[in-house]
This record gives sequence, C-alpha cells and structure tokens, in this order.
Amino acid sequence: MKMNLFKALLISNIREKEVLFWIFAFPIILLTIMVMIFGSMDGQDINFKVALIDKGGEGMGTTIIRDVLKDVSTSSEGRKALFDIIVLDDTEEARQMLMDQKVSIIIEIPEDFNVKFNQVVFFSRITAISAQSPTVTVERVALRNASTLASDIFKQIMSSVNLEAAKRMNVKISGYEYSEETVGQSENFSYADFFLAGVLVMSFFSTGFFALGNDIAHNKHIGIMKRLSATPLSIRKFMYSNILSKMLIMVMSAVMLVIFGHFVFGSSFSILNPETFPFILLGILDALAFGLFIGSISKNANAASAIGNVLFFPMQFLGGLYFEVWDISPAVRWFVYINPMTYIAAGMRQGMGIVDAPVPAYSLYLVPLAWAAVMLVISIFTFDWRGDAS
Amino acid sequence: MDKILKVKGLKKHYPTVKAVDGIDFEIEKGQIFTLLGPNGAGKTTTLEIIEGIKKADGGEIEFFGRKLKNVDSHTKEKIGVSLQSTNFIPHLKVRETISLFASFFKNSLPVEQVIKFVSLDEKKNDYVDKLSGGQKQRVAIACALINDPEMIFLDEPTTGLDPQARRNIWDIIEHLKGEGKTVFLTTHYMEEAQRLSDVVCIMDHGRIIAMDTPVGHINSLGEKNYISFVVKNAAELKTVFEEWSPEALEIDGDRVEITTEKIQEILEKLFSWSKKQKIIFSDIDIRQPNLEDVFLKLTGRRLRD
Amino acid sequence: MKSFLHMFVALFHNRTRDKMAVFFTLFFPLLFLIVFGLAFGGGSMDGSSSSGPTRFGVYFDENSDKDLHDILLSISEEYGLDPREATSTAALAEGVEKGYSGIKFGITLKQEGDTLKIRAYYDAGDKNQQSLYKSNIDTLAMGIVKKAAGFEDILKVDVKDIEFTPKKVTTIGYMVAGVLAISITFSGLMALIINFGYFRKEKILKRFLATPFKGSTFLYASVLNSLLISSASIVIILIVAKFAFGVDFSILWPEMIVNYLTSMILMMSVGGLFLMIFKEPNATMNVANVFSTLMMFVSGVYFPLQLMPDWLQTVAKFFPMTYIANNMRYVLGQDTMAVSEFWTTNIVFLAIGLIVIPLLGATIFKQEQD
Repeated sequence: MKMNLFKALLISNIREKEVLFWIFAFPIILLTIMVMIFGSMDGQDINFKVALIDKGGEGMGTTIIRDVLKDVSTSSEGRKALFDIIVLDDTEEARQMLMDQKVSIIIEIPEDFNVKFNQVVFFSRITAISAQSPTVTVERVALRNASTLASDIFKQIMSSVNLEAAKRMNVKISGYEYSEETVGQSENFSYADFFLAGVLVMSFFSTGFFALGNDIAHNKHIGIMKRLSATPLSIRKFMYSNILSKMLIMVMSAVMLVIFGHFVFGSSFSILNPETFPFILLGILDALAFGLFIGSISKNANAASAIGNVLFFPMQFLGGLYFEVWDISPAVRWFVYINPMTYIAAGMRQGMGIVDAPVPAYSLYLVPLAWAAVMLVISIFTFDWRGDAS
Repeated sequence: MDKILKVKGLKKHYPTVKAVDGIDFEIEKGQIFTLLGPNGAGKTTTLEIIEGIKKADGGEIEFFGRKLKNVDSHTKEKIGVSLQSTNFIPHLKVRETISLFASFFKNSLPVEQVIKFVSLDEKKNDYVDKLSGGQKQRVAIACALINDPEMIFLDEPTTGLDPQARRNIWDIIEHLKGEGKTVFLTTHYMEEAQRLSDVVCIMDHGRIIAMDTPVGHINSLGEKNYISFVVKNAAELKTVFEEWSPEALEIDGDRVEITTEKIQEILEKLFSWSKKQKIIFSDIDIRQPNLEDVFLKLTGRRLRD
Repeated sequence: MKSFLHMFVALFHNRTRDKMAVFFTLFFPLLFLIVFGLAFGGGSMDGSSSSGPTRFGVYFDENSDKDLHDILLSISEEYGLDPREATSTAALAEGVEKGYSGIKFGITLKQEGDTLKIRAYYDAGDKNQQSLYKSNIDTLAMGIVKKAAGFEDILKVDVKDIEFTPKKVTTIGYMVAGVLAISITFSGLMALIINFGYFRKEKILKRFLATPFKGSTFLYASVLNSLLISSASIVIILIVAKFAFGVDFSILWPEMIVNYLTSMILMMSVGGLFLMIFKEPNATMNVANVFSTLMMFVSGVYFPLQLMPDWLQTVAKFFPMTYIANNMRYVLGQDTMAVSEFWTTNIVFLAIGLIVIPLLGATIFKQEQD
C-alpha cells in the first residue's frame, strides 16, 4: 500500500512538466550558464576602446609612449589587442565620446611632455634638482567597470615602462620575484566543481521549498488530508510517501547533474566521495525539513510559494551558491552565517578539496543539523495531523 | 414556423480528423434543439462555428434570415453563448463578470435582473473562481443572457454537475423556453436530451445520423417496454400473468419479465392483484427504451464509453 | 471604447486582487534590491569597480627592512590600495580566506639581496578576480622597487575621475538601475504570457470571441494594464532606493517614462514571440525564465562585459537587457550615454513592439479560430 502510494506520488510528480523542468532541466541550464560565463572569464578577450589626444609632438618621451601604445593596440597570436586607439585632436570631442560611452578612457599626452621628459632625464643625470615629471593624463568614469579596468591596466603598463627606463638608465634597482598561492584551494579547482556544488544545493532546496512545500500546503488546502484520515491510510504514511518521493527526485536530479557536469564540463565531483556525501545528505535533509516547515505554516499552495520565494531568494544569493559570501558587507554577513545553504555548499566544496571553508569543520555539520531539527520540530507542532482543511 | 437558423453542408476538417463533415439542420424559433453525441462527435466544433468562434471550411449558415459565410458581430449581438468551459477572469466578482460581458454588447439587460434570473443574488459579490461548478455554470448562463439574445447556445451545461445542480440548470432552460427563447443545447446525457428537447439531433464522427423529436426517435426503434419483478413460485402463477395479455412473457426461476406497449395498464393489474392475493413481489424493474438505445442501435456503441 | 474600459478595469482588478501577482510584481523586485543593496552596497559584486580603495593584507618578514614597510604604506594609496598589516604568514592566509577586515588578497614581502620576493595569497572563492588582483600586485611591486632605489617615475600617469552626471553617483545607485532593468525585463516578458497564455488555455479568450468584443481590444487593454501595474514596482524601487539606501537620483522624467514604456513594450513583444512559438503558457514561462536568468548575467548589470569572452560579448549585444540597463542608468542620472543612442534604442524597441504586438494579437486569435 505504502509503496504503491509512493510510486503514485513519484510518477505524478515526474509527469508534471513544470516539475520536470524546474527540478531536472533548470539546474543543468544554470550550471551551464555559470560555467560558461565564469569558466571563460580569463581576460583573454579583454579589449577597450581608448581615445588618445596626442599633443606631444616629436621627441624621445613621446616616442616611448607611442611605442608602448602601438604595442598594446596590436593583436598578437591568439590574443586580441588590449586597446583600440582612436586618435583625436580635440579634448572636447574626446570628452563627448567618453560621455557617450564610445570610449572607456581618454589618454592625453600634453604639449609639454617632451620638454619635461628631457628636463627630467637630463637633470636627473647631472644634478639633484627634481624637475616636473612628464605626465600622461587618463580620464575615466569611476563607476563604469570598463573605464576602471582600462585605466588600471594602463597604469600598470606605464609602471613597467618606467621600470624598464630605470634599468636602461642604469639605476641600481632590484628586480622582483612573484609567486602565488591560493588559500583554501587544491590543485584541481575547477569552476564546474565549484558551481556544481552550488547548483546541487539550489536544486535540493528548490525541490524541498517548492515541490514538497507547495504539495503539502495544496493537499492540506483541498482537504486530501481530511479525506485520507477517513481511510485506513494514515496521514503519516501519506506524508512519509510524499517525503520519500521528493527525496528520490532530489537524488535523481543530483545524479543527473553530476553526470552532466562530468561529461560536459569534466567535473570530478562525486556524490559517493565520503567527504562530500554527508553534505549531500545534509542538503537533502535540510531541504526536506524546510519544505515541511513551509507546507505546515502555509494555508495553501500560493502562500507556500510566496513564503518559499521570500526565503529561497536571499538564502541562495547569500548562501554562497554562486560566489563567495563569507566576507560580504557586514550588514548582511549575519545572514550568511546563519544560512544553512552556506554551510552545505561550503562543506561540499571543502569535501571535494576545491575550496576550504573559513569556519571550523564541525560547524559545517552542526548548523545544517540544527536547522533541520528546528524546522522539523516547528513542522510537527504546527502541522495539523488531523488534516482539517481550512 | 420561423426558421431562426439554417445550416447547410457545414464542414470543418483538421489534418487528422474531419471534426464536422457536412451537416445540415434547421432550427425553429422557440425550440430547444439538442445535439446529442459522444465526446469527440463534433458537437462543440459545430457549436463554435455557429457561435462565430471558429471559421468553417465549407457550408452555409443562414442566421435570422441572413446568409453568412462566417458569423459576424451583427449576429453575435443577437445570440448568447455558454461554452463547455466556464472559466472567467478569476479574480472578478460575479457581478463584475456579468457587467463586463454587458459592456461587449450594444444593448444589454440590467445586470441585477439577469443575476436574479439565474438565482445568483447571494453570490453576486463572490469571486468567480471560488464558486461551485453549478454556480459557475449559472454565471456562464447569465453571461449568455445579458444581451437579451434571441437564441442561446449552451454547450454541455450540466456536465460534471451533481443532480441538484443539474436540475437547477434544467429549470433555467425550461424557463427560457417559456419566455420564447430558442435554445441550442449539446449534451451527452440522454435523460437531459429526452427531457428538455423539442428536436434531438444525434451526431457521431462529424455527421448527423438521426434527427427527430425524442418520442419520434424512440418510436423509430420499434421496441417495447419491459416490466420485470421477482415473486415466489412464479412458474405456478404463469396463467395469472398470461391473463394480462402481455406481448411476451418470460419466467426464469422466480423472475418474471413482461414485454408490453401498455405499460400503465399492466402495472395497475400487477398492483391490484398483489394487494388482493396478499402476494409480495419484489425487485421491480421497469425499462422503457430511451435515446441511449437509439444511439446504441444507430452506432453499435454506447453514448458514454 | 466602453468595452475597452471595462476590460481594462477587469484586468486591473484581476491583477491587483491576486495576492501572488501583487507579491511578485511589487515585493519581489524590492527583495532583490534589498538583498543586493545590503550585500553589495559597499562595492560592486565583482569588486573591480568599487569606488573605494581595494583592501589587502600584508606581512613583512621579521628581519625585513624598515624602509620596505614605509615604502609600501606611502605608495599604496597612489595605486588605489589600502594595506592592512598581518602578524604572521598564517594570519595573513587566514585573513585572506575569511576576508578579515575586508581584505581581498594578501602579500608577503621580503628583500633577498637584489631581489624583492613577493608572494601573493588569493582566496580560492574569488577565483575570477585573481587576474585583477595580480595586476594590482604587479603595479605595487614595481612601485616598491622603484621607490626603494630612489627612482622617481619618469613618466607619470595622472588618473582623473570624470563625472558627467549632475549628482555624485554611487555603486548602489548604479546597481538600482540594473535592478530596475531586471524588473522591467521580467515583468514585460511575463505580462502577455500571463494574460494571453493563461486566458487562452483556460478558454477565457474564446468566450470573449463569441461576443462582438474584439480580440484587439483585449490585447491593447492588457498591454496598457501591464504598463500601469509594472510601473508601480518601478516607483517603489525608486522610493526605497532613495530613502533606505540614500541614492541621489537626478531623474530625466520624460526620458524615464519613454524608456520605461518602450522597454516594457519590447519585452512584451519578446514574451509574445515566445508565446507564438511555444504556445503552451507554462512552457513559455519556463523559456522566458531561463532567458531572463541568462540575460541577468550577460548584460553588464553584474559582471563587466569586457571580461567575458568575445562570443559572450556578442551574445550580450542581442540581449535587450544590456540596452535597458544602460538606458536606465542614463535616465536615472547615474551615468551618461550618447543621447542619439538612447533615442535610437527606444525607437527600435518601439518599432519591434509595434510590429510584434499586433502580429501576436492576429496570430493568437487566428489560432483560436482554427
């Protein structure tokens, strides 16, 4: 009897196209979008339109600058030119272009550039008198990403030009050696793994919040609970079957996602990895507990869906599913730290050895467990087991 | 009699099915005309063409004396329609829904009057999506009546309703007839067709297979009525039953089955005999042929399979 | 006209009495604004365009030169950086990982003979920012070695922040424009799918067609209705942004209204096109949802388009949200743009709407007649 009911619920769930889409297709689409965008944000195709006002005339200083600019505006094998330079005579025109977002920054070589350059080079060699440095002006609009990026890049280029100049001028300057280390990350970090963990959590919770929560609220509303209470089939059994069917859907969706991630993006995420497995379980447990909670406190499916959305939205974005949030603005950091999704996603990533969580390991288990307990207790006390429809 | 609607050679063909396959009929003013047929017979398509929702692929419609290729808005002013589906804009109240429909027509009746007519007075400030099936159906009929139409189309108005709600709808339809309105009804309930209709048109696979009054249909079957009951020692009583001169008599164990045209006469004899002889009979079953039998005979299938 | 007004009022009631619809139109964009406003109010999501200096952690080797210390502190500001000193390498690494004091990355500095050894610590979670931070560190390192050698840059760069906007703009103001663009995109896309798709599925449209009521009247009543209702969410977002987050708008009202109307009309047309293709409202809704999710990430609202690969940048050019967001920043006084471009996009939006929406009406009612 119970198995039949379970099967019936499972099949009715899977048959519904909506469920099929949101639970099975959407996570895969989201994972694809995320990996596509972030996996390829390697800066290979960075290119900015830059206005150049060159009033510098001929001389050594301007020659250096022009060579540098020529260099960065020429594409080399496999790499796009960093800057597309538009040469203008008129400052007003350049400003207009910057205003109109036609260029990212304006680079201006002033008239006195060569004079100052010669002074600096000449004086610095024979006296200690410091002359005014030749200065290239960059105008940017601070809030435009492109503008800030372009000006930063230009500054870096100029800095290396100066370093080169110093060496040529035989200034005794030390070199620098750069090495790097990524904290909390193993060698095999991949975006696919990173997002897969996030999307898995998203998928569990959307099943819990919307499929289970709505279902319970809906059944309560239309009085199935009441009708069932008049049959030998107890509400408890009905609930267990419902929960079990949602659990199976979560597992199926997870398996699909992992297989997809493996074959399409070469992810190495494994559900059965003993380090990640507990967090899969915790994810399912919490998603179900929240689903029960939503179903229990909602009058009908609409209310459940509203409550679900209000919770789901901040929880997923402030739960580190798609980007790190541990060090987010203090105004909402408290939310990140009480959010079970944060711990589950972090736990999976730590388990896979791609990103370490900056919190003690026990908290990764404890916080989600505590939430599951609280949600279950609230559900049991608020849910009307006799099944009186409102 | 005035012919309010003439349909000739009406056709609607879809790639996979001939939904309406060349049908002809005429409806007189003040009649209740019923299209009877199983699901998928083409009733709704026929209706929707005449209501001006769908375009016909062929044939001719003559409405109120005007020949039309397709039903125009001039005609729509004079007809009222209730579709099979009775969904309305969900978050509108009953009263608002009916006045919305009133706004579609040049002339309309006062909304309150129509609400009263379909007995929705108490529900007029309720949202339509909170109503029961029967109440929704009455809203649908109210919307069909708001322009004081000469002809009203009701597509399966009682499908899915409980017996009480069904009776309410029947009352409304009979009331409409009383007011001289012409009613075009579709149904797959033979009791409904039999009880309400002046003319029943039986449709199957997009074609009309018979058209007559309900009585005419049944008579065309040439079948008799049956009375059967159970009585102890039936075989010994055979002579008694034979005296009542039935057309046929069969006794099977304690069950007696009498075939007759004079059903009332035989029943009277049965009751007075049993009273006089103090013999108790039980499990009486009276069966008269109905439109179901007509349909079965015409198509070899039951109406609702 | 009588039936148009009645239909308009009916549709208005239908939307405003539907608690879920009200919730999603009004409250949801607000929730969106609040979550992102609080979370990223101090800087944008990717950190690259935050207006303040970028904080980083630094640890100096015990026996490192005192000079190194002073040099770093003296030159950081010049590079838009703000150093915080850590007590040990371990503390530095931990700080980077947990974002202590808001540091984005960390470095250790050590002078070994002729070479300055610089080791960078990045947070694994900030993977996509790593190349930006690396370039910060490069610039800083070059600055340090030059300064240590007493070498003054011969060629200097003077970066000037230009403000074309009448009032000072902030990251959150910039973000509000993005939230508005997202809100318009979503509600525009859904508007006709809801009215047409569901009304058709529920046979409500069919019932109207059995009366002299014209399908086009329904279409225009529902377009007008959606324009009116969605504008409420725009107003609410603006009010909350102004009073709760202190955003200083200088709104170009006529342009704002035009931009709102044409953007909505465009998105309704896109929703309508989806509906013509997919017919079934739920399926159409799903397609619309995926489309808007994709647009949200690839329209320059949250992530700079310049960092994306070429092909995605090309894709973004075909996404209306890219233009809607840009126009929105302009009309809210958060950024400037070519006025001609603003009007061109608006005219194109309107033109698409004027073609697609009547076509949608004709197609849907035609489908109903077959």
